[in-house]
Amino acid sequence: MACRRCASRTAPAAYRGGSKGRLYTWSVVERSYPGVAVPFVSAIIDLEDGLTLKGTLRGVDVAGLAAGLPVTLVFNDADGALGKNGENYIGYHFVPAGEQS
Amino acid sequence: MSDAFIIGAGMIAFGRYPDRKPRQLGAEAALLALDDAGLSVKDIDVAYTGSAFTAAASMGQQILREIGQTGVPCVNVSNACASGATAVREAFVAIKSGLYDVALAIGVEKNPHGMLGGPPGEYLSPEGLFGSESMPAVFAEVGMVHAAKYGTTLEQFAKVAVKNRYHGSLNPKAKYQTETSLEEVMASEMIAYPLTKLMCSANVDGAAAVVIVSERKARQLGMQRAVRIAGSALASDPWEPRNPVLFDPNSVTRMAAGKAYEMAGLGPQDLDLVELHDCFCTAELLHYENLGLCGDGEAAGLIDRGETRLGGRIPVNVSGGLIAKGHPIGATGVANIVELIEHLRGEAGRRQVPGARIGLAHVLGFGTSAAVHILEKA
Repeated sequence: MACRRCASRTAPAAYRGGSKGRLYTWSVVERSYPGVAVPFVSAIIDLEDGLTLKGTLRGVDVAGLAAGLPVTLVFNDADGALGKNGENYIGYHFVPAGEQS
Repeated sequence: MSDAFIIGAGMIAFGRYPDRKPRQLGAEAALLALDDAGLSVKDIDVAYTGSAFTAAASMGQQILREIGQTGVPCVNVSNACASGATAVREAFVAIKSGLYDVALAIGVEKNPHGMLGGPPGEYLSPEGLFGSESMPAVFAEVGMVHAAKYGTTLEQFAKVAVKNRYHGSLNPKAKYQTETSLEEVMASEMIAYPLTKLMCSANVDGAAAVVIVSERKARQLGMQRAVRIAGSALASDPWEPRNPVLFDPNSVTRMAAGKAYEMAGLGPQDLDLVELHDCFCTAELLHYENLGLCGDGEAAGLIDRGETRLGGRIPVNVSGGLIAKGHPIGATGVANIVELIEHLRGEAGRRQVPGARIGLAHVLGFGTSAAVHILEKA
């Protein structure tokens, strides 16, 4: 309704975010809720335009992970999951910069 | 404005109570606190009950049905892991307002089994697809911010569990009363790097209660075992650029601590002991800095040098903390205060901090709230 930073009620201008960012922090999740496949890297990514997103970071060697790693945002189909009526999902994850998926 | 004093405190041993209802646990703690104060439920003017999971089921009224229905105002609060501390805070505000002379604050919880939280069943779970929202992962991520900034290691985080397990071995009401070596902590199941299973809080049931009175009432009853609430503050998470995508336990804790220190006219250098929200080992180190026990980036040095161990410069979580004593969500914020009171009265037995006069209790509720209380021997 209003800006959570300054309480302004003027709506912000729409813009298109970029897909490049850097790893800010992460955890390698070895145990999650029942039925969730592990391990995976839960990552907090600072995008170049100032947004911060949480997402799964794929295609990395966890032993060498360090803050500042350049990454790319990739859209996906939630690994092919379907809704109750067979509808598709749109999801996203991150990969190291320069990789495609 | 009248000062507010705690004159009665009680808690049940933390553990699992499969055969008892939450209201029975809360009632037992309430009666312990009333007996400790030398009062009856008929002396209570107002009651506050904190429970993350059962506040909406009128847990306070359920408890009054177990201990005496006198018709007093009864308020139920749910504020995540800060529920119990919020009940204490509201009781404090009630006494300070001058409307009441005697308030009862109760914290109670029967924790669900397994990893707390969890995805809704009906829709596709975001867990694993969009990172993790599990509590261990969230507190691992904030710990890794500290690690990246200051070089804090898994071993240093693990030392918190070793210390708190040692403290728990001195507390007959702790869930875990055996010491655990650094090797055992580091070798236990990895949950979310850098947090192993023994670096996570113990999932238990529990209840605790305190009786808070006006200065007039305290003088009437006798100040011998009274403890003054010198500072009380509750904060919600202020705007921070990454919050809530990156959970921020820091700014909200700093805000509450600053307000509590200001109200008390005291600072971290005045404290004899601290009970803080060690829901995970990473959190304890962050809160050393958030509460001003050391400068930014110095927390790992405190644990390395044993400064926060019983006998050290500023003992932290001598109850065993959430890691060894246990973390029954809604009870935790009251139990921390009960622990301080035992020390300020000189009644903490083998884990007594010698000569303790001033203590600080801190909790953090995910979502996010922080509560800080500073207690002083009257």
